[in-house]
Amino acid sequence: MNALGKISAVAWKDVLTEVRTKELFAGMFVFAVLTIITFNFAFDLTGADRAASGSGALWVAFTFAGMLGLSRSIALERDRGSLDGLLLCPVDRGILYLGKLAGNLLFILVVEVIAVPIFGALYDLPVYRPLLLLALALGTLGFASVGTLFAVMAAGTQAREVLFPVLLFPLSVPVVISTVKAAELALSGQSGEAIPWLNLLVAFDLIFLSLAFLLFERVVEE
Amino acid sequence: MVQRRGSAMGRVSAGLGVVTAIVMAAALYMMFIYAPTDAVQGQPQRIFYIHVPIATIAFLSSFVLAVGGIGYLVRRSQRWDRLARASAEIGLIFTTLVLLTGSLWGRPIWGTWWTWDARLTTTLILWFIYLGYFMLRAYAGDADRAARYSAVLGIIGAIDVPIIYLSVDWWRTLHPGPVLFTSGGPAMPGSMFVTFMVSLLAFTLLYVWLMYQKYMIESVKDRVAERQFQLAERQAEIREGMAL
Amino acid sequence: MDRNLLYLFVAFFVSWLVMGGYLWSLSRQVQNLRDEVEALESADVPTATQAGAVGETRAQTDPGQA
Repeated sequence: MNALGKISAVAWKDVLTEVRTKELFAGMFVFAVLTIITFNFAFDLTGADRAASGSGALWVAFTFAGMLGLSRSIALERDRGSLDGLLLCPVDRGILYLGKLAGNLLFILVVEVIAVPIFGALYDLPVYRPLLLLALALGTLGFASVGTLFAVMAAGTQAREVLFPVLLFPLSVPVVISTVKAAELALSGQSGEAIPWLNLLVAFDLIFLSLAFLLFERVVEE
Repeated sequence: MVQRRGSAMGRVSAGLGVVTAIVMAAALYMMFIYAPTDAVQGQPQRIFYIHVPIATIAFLSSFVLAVGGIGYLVRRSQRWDRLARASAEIGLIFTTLVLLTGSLWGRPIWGTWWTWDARLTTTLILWFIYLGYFMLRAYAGDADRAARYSAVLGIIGAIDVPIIYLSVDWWRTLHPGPVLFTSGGPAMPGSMFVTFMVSLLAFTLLYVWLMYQKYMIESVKDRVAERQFQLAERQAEIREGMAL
Repeated sequence: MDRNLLYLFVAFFVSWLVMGGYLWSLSRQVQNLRDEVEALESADVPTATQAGAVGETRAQTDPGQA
């Protein structure tokens, strides 16, 4: 089996588990939509400047849902002992990381695919803009690449629920800023100005994907 | 402090401590007596003499933290982890001080305690990274795992800091621009520049001295823990022997 | 007093307070380590002789029991 096959095998294992147990997706999705709705009571999301606050609300909703999913998916793996099983496989640790990342990424992206149209309908915003969707996808990749690494680390400690956000939030500040900015500019039709933010996102994704790929091996060795 | 007083290491450490104290006293004298009062900012400008050296140390510590982390992951020696441990503690303290002194300067000069500008925001995030570092160590359990996990966090954190700075800088910025190394010499009177450099030297000496002390404390701690473990094992053996 | 001087005073005061507090905590750590090393040294010597004594008595009594 080549590397791509191995990655998809690990991700497919996660999808199969989810289809059978249904422990992750429903929770993440409902949480994301509820966050979007709750923001409506916190800010005025019907005014003229709703592109700015709306893009923030959307990204915060996906960040929270993504964190919930990441921490749950790794914690389940640790509790069932299936992480040890995975580590026993004669597969490079970096490949395992990419497989777990692909699985997590898939869950978050499916949540986004359903939640973004709901968001657009609720706040009457033009969400079907390629730049907006690109910004969300790149942001999700960056968030999930650091998140998967830290979720595995946090799951190995005694205070996983507390530690995970404490580690992840400060380090993902650049993702939050650039995704929200790019999404806001895309929503308000200033696509040209969104390009530098997308470049920053791509740079962040590349740096953190390669860092996490290299460091994952050191996290799971026991 | 930890080593025996007569040893060569102890003498170097004590000597460094004395030199640090003398240079720091000279720097304090220059800050308050030698340097003139700033024409625009008035007295609070003197905070600058400690604020900037402290900030330098705070960010330098995050770099040393990453170096210690890389060293540990490559060499697997407790020495590198000790370096990281010492650096994290000093980094957290100096980052706290940067935020405090910066706020106390900003209030009279800018009229506000805080702004969301690039340097302030990056420093605040750095503070949270140090905090997360200590929580990770505290909850990680055994020593090797704590060292490995925190090495990973230290490396990622140090690489993230410039990216955070860049992203916040694009987002908004208000912090005064560089006043030290602008083209055409420092944008301040010579006496102020000299005062700043002496202060920077004093804080650098303080940093080296603190790092040395903390490193030594950590290494003795490791050895004491090792001996306590051995002792407990031996006592258990004896108890077994008596039971027989 | 000038309010500006107050900010200057507080900034320096807080900085030296924190650094002084850190130095104090370092010296406390050193003191604790000294105590622990002393405890280890005093605990080490008797247990070593005890272990020897226990070993000897066992060596003496075991053949008799057998």
